[in-house]
Amino acid sequence: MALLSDPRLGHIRNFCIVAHIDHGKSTLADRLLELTHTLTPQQMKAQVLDDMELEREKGITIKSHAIAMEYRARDGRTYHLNLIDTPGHVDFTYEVSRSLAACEGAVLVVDASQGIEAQTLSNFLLAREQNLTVIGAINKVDLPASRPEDVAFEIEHVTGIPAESVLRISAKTGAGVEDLLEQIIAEIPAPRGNPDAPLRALIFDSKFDQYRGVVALVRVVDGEVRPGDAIRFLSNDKRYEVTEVGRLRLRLEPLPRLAAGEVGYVVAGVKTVADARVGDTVGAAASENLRALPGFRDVKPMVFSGLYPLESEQYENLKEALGRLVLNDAALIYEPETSVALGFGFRCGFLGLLHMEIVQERLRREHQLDLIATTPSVEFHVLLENGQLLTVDNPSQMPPANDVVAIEEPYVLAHVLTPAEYLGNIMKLCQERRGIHVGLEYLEEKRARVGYRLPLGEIVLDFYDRLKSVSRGYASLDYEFDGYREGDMVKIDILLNAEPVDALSAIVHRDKAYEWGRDLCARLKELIPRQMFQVAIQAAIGSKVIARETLGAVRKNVTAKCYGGDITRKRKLLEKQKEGKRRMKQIGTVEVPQEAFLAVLKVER
Amino acid sequence: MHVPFCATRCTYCDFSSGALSAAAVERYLGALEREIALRAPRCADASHRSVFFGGGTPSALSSRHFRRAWKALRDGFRIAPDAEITLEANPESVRPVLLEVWAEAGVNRLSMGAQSFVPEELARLGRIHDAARPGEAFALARAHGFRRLSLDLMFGFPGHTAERWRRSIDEALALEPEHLSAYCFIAEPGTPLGDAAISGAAPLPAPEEQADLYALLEARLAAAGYGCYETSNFCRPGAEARHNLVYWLRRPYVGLGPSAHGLLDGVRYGNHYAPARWAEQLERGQGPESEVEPEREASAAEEALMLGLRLGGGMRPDDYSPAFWSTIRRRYGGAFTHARATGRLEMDADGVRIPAPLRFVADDVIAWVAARGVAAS
Repeated sequence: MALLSDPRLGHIRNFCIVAHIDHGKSTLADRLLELTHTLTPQQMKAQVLDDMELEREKGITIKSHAIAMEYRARDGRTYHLNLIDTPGHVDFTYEVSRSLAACEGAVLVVDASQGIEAQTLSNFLLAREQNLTVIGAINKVDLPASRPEDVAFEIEHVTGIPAESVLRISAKTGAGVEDLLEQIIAEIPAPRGNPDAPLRALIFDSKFDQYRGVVALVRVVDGEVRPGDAIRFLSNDKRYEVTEVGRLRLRLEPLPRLAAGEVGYVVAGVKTVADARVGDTVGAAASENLRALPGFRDVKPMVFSGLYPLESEQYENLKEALGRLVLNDAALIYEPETSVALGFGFRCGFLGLLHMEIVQERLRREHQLDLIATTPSVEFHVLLENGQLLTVDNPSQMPPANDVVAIEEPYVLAHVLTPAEYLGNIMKLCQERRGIHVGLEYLEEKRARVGYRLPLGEIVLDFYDRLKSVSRGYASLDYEFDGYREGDMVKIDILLNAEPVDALSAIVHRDKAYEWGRDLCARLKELIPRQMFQVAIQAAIGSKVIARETLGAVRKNVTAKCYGGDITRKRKLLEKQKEGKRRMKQIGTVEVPQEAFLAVLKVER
Repeated sequence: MHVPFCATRCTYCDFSSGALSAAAVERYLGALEREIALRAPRCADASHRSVFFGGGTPSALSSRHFRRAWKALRDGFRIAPDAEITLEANPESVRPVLLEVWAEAGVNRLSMGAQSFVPEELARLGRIHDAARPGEAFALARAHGFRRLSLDLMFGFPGHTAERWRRSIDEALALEPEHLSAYCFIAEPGTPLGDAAISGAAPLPAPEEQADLYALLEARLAAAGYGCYETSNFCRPGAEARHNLVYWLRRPYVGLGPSAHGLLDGVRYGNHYAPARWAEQLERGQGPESEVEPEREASAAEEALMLGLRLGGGMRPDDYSPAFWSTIRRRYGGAFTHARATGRLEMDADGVRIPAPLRFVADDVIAWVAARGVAAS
């Protein structure tokens, strides 16, 4: 790679915005699009980049996006700017790193009253790793609670960006945004890369389009790509012919070619996003000795759960829906499994809990599927007496305790950024979750960054919510995988009238087993409606019962009067009751509502 | 035939009923004659095996008014010679002159609303007769040759206790009715006692206590020789209300009067609830229905299930046409087997029924079976 930018690429700037949720990334993107006349006023709608309905609702970017802008700068020249929008959640750190790798610079946006958050810092560190030029901008300076001087000091202290060079802007009013554009042009370097070398392009996202197949979003590093070119993906050596290239505006805008330094999309008849993975290199098919661009990783799911249709006839639909989702989600994996309690379903692997929620929600909304999800689990390594080593991601498949020599569980290295006043609460929370303290530093007088090694299983369920609640929403979290460590884990089964419900089994640490069992039994008692017969709800380790609740029988559910005039009305009532019954899963003699399976997510620990 | 007049309104009742005035009754009878003229040709070939005067308070009609209603009915419809003809009567309105008129018309069954034999309870329920009146009315009716008498009781209302319930049951049994209906109180919004129960001003007994009151009723009636042939209906052997079985077995019937419903030629219809609105439609020469629903195979089968499983004898093949029974079997056969395996139903050659101990949770069983029915094919 050339050390200096080729003059032919001097008009291009590729950058991204690094910001915490709610710090105004999307609003800033909107202002940039407006100032560069990229969109007509009719096309402007708030937060244009977050186009998936779910993303809008959750206020988080899940997929990466990009948009090309043209800007006539104060120096009289017209620049091509590519803004790459990155996902904003800890589940998607790898995707973020690939988006950053497609850029030369980043704008670090920090809320003028909130200061830097863990996710921002973590993305800043990722940007530094990619040698990006980072421009600091303090947003929302128009708000009364803003304290830009303190925040500028914090930015300097944490990132080394001089406080006086940090811009003050308001994405909402537009103040300072044009200065920011000028600074992007002045400070962020033009792309490097060799326009005359064979094609190499980095895939920073890919999505499935019903009509085109996979649309790979790429940053061309060397050479160029045109329709008709033969290409190959370096990770799997699959070869395709390019049918369309173009740049990204509100829609895909075809171009005759994409050249070195440019950001755009490539369509080449690829059938599934799993074949055009984020981080992979698109190369010229004819050049066999190309070196892959650095950083490609096969992302591995961290959290596993069984997904089952509420009504067994929906199994085929669920299968088809999952098949469609993976076309557009290379991180999701699934394979058939069966549960004694729930019948036929699929074991699914997710990047994290948010990813899991998103997948379930999309199955619900886009495919109208009613689902039951089993207790989420991480992947354990289990060493057996006979020397065999198993990986277990489904509690119901944990071998009997007698056969097990040791169980290892995955750990993460987590960092929490918090106002110092909540430090005590947070450390207490981490300790409750079996965390191992690894460091504490103060970013400024009143803000600290604390590090813990934590079992992943302790944080996948409700850790983030608890963290937010003990810090009144001020603490933020970032974590990365940190290897396996041995733990004293036990499998807890839940029994309804002495029948084990495999979907509710969980693997938890022995010290927490009793509490878990008690709490889950109590919650199930609340959620399972009274039945015709008394129901015993028990938690057990092996054959030893550790908790029990008794649900009394329903005594009255009857229509007193039913004569000629009531029949239509009574039948409508029956339709409702019938619907209620349909939403329950019959397990042995007990009817269990869908919500009961969510109880596990809410267990206090 | 619904007769929408009452001397006073009871505190729990939400049936269609208005104040009794000569003008209102005249208008009602005029509209009734129009409705009969409208409906009678639709069942010209049928011979009606039962007639039921319900209300409201049919016994509130004067002899002249009753005769006019009866004539209209007889002129319009063919009524079988051995038809069961029931009239609902409030104990306070049972007088010799009316008994004579009813007997002369062919009424052979009287259903009397006693509700309770405890004076405080009668006041609370808004009843205007005293605790002794049902006994007097029974004696009078017997003296006039009425051999089929039924009594209505209510339980599980605010403040009801097992001790008082036992008293009411025993007093009722002492009158030796052939038939007895006992309803668990329903808190109907818009009625004084219903609203008080809903708001908590007059707390209802817990569902468990209501279930215990029902168990007490079943036990005492069984001991006295009364069988439970429907959730809320009990009788001595052979004294079932033939008319009510028409509803429960989904046989065709004609409904007349405001709020009355009918099932005729595969169509369920319901008349306007308000007497004035019902009358107005007929006076304009229009149909008095506010709802009309053609039955489908699915709705018919589900109704048969909903109604049939409330019967003490359950759903019996002989009670339905072979074709309809095979429809029921096709839709619910699997669910029946599954329900039997889980203790929810009893099933044998006589049919399928809810076991006696589960009668007070019948809705749960019915919904459970309905939810497992095979969808339309």
